[in-house]
Amino acid sequence: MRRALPAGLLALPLFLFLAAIYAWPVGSLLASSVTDPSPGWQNYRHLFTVPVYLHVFFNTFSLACVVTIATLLLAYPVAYHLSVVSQRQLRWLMFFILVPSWTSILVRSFAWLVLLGRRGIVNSLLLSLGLLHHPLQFMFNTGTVAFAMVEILLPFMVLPLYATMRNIDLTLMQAARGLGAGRLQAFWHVYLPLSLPGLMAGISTVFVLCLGFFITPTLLGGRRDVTVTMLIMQQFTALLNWGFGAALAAVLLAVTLAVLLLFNVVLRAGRRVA
Amino acid sequence: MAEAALSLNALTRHYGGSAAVDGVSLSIAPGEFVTLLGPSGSGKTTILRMIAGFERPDGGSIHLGSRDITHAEPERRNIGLVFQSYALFPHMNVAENIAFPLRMRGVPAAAREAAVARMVSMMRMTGLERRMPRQLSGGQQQRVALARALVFEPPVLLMDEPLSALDRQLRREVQSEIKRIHQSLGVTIVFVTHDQEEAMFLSDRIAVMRQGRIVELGTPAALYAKPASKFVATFVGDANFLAGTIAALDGNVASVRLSNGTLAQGQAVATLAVGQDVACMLRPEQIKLESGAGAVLIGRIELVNFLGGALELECTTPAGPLKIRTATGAYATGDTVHLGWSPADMRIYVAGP
Repeated sequence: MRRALPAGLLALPLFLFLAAIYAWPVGSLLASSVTDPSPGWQNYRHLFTVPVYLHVFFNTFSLACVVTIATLLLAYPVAYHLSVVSQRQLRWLMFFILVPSWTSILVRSFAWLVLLGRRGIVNSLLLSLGLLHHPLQFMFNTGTVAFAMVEILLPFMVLPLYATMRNIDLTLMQAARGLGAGRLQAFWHVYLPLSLPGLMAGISTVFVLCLGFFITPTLLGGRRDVTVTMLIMQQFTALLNWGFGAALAAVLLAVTLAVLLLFNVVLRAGRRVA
Repeated sequence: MAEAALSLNALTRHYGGSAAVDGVSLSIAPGEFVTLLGPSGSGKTTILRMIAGFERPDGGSIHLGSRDITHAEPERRNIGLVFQSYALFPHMNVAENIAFPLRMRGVPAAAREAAVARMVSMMRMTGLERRMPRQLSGGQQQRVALARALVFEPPVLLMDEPLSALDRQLRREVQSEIKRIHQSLGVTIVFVTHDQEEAMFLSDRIAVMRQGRIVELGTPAALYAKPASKFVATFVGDANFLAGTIAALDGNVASVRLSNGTLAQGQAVATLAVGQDVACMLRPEQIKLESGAGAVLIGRIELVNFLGGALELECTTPAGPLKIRTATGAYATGDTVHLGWSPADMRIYVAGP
C-alpha cells in the first residue's frame, strides 16, 4: 500500500482536470434531460414515443454496423500484409496509412465533395469522355456517407489488427497445416482466434467513432441520412431545446456502452467455445 | 528388405545461387530412428521442411511408403512434426492441442477423447489436460508437442531440434522418453540435431551432413569407430589429431613421421602416398598410459578434468596436444606420462579441413 500511494497521487492532477472539465459539465448536461424545461421524464417519453427519433437511432446504428463491417473486411488483409513485410516496406506502408489520418476530417469530407459533386472531378471526367450525357448524383445518399466514413476510419481498424497480428507466430500456421488443417481451416482455427483481441479492439473503436460521426454525414448525406449527432446538434443550436438534446445524448451514450459490453461478453464466450 | 517408410531421392534445394540441399538420397526403414546431424547451415532443417511440405524441392523426389509426396500439400502428407519452438496453439489447452489433428481429420468426439486420454497418460501428463501452454514448463510443452504429433498415428515423425530449448538435465530425461516412445510405438523417426551426443544416444543410424550433402551414413558405433573422413571424425565423438607425413606404406598400414620426428603406425583411411601430409586421429580413450616400453610419446599433464566415472587428461607432447580419457588414477598437473596406442586404433586421414 505504501508503494502504491505515490503513483495514485501522481494521477490526481489529471483526475481533477477531467473531473472539472469533463465529468462535471457532462454530468450536469445529462442531468438537464430530467430537469429542463421542468423536472420529470417527459423528454425520454417524447423520445421513445415519436417514431422519427427511434428511426434516426436505428439509421445511426445500422450505418455504424455497415461501416464497421466494411472497414474490417478491407483492413484485415492490409493488417496481415503489414505484419509479414520487411521493416523497410513497413515504414512506407505505415506512412501511407497514417498520413491521411493526420488530415482533418473536415478537409477530407470536403475532398469527397470536390471528387463526387455534380460538377466534381469524376462527373467531369465521365462527361468529357462521353461515357455520360448527364452528371450522375453521387452525393447526398447513404452509400457515399458510408464510403467516406470507411475511408476515414480505416487506420483505426488497421492499427490494432496489425499490433495483434505482428505477435502471431507464423510457425503455428505451418504446425496446423502439418497436423492436417487446410489453408482455410488453419486460418479459421488458429489465425483468426489469435487475431481476435486486435479484431475486437478495432471493431469497438470504429463502431463507437461511427456513432459519434457528425461532419461527414452532415456534408455528404442527404435529407434522409440524419444521424443522432445531427439531431443533438439541432436540438442544442437551432431549437435551443437543451433538455431533449441531453436526453438524446444520454440514450446514445447508454446504447453505446451497452454495445461495448455486449462485444465483451461475446468475445469471452467465443474464446471459451474455441 | 521391406519397403522403405520414407525415401529421399536426389533431393535438391537452391537458395539464390547456392545449394542448401544438394542431391540427398536416403532410405529409411519402417520403425527406424534416423538422425540428420550437421552444423548449422548444413541443410538438415531444409530437408526436414521439404519432407513436411513447407518447402518445395528444386529437384528429386520424396516417397512416403510407395506414395510420391514430393508435391503434396502439407496437410495431405500425414506426417507428424515437432518444431524446435514446439508451436503449441496458445489459445488451446493441452487436450485441445492434442486433439487438433484428429479434429482436422473429422474423428468423432468420443474417439477423439479416448485417443487424447491415451496420449496424455502415455506422456505422463494426467491432470494437466486443462492447462494452457503458457502454464506448462518447457519439458511439459515438449511432451504436448510430441503427443500432438503422434496422436493421429502418422507412419513417420519428424523432429526439428526439439530439445535445444531444454536445460541439460531435462534434455537427458526427454531423450530417454523419446527413446521409450519410439520403441513402444514403432514409429519411424527422422530427427534433426547439431548435438552429436544426442544423435548417438537416440539413433539407429546417423546421416552426417555438410554443405547440403550427406557425407557419411551409418550406425553411431560405426561412425564413432571408423569415421570415413576427418570431418566426421571431428563431428562425431571427441577426437585428437596429430599432424605428420607418410614415411612408408604397406597396404592399409601406414608409417607416419609425426611433427617431432617420431614414427607411428596406423590405418590409412584414404588413398595416400609417401611424403603426403596427413592427420592422425586417436579417440581419447584409445590412448594408453604406458609404463615405458610401449610408449610412443612422452607428454606432460596440463589439466586434469574429473568427469565422474572417468578422468580426462589434457597433455602436451612434442608431437602436439592430446586429450586422454582414463579410469580414475592419481594424476596431477605437471606429471610426465608415457603415451601409447594400438596401431589399429590410429586412423590416418588426408590433412586439411
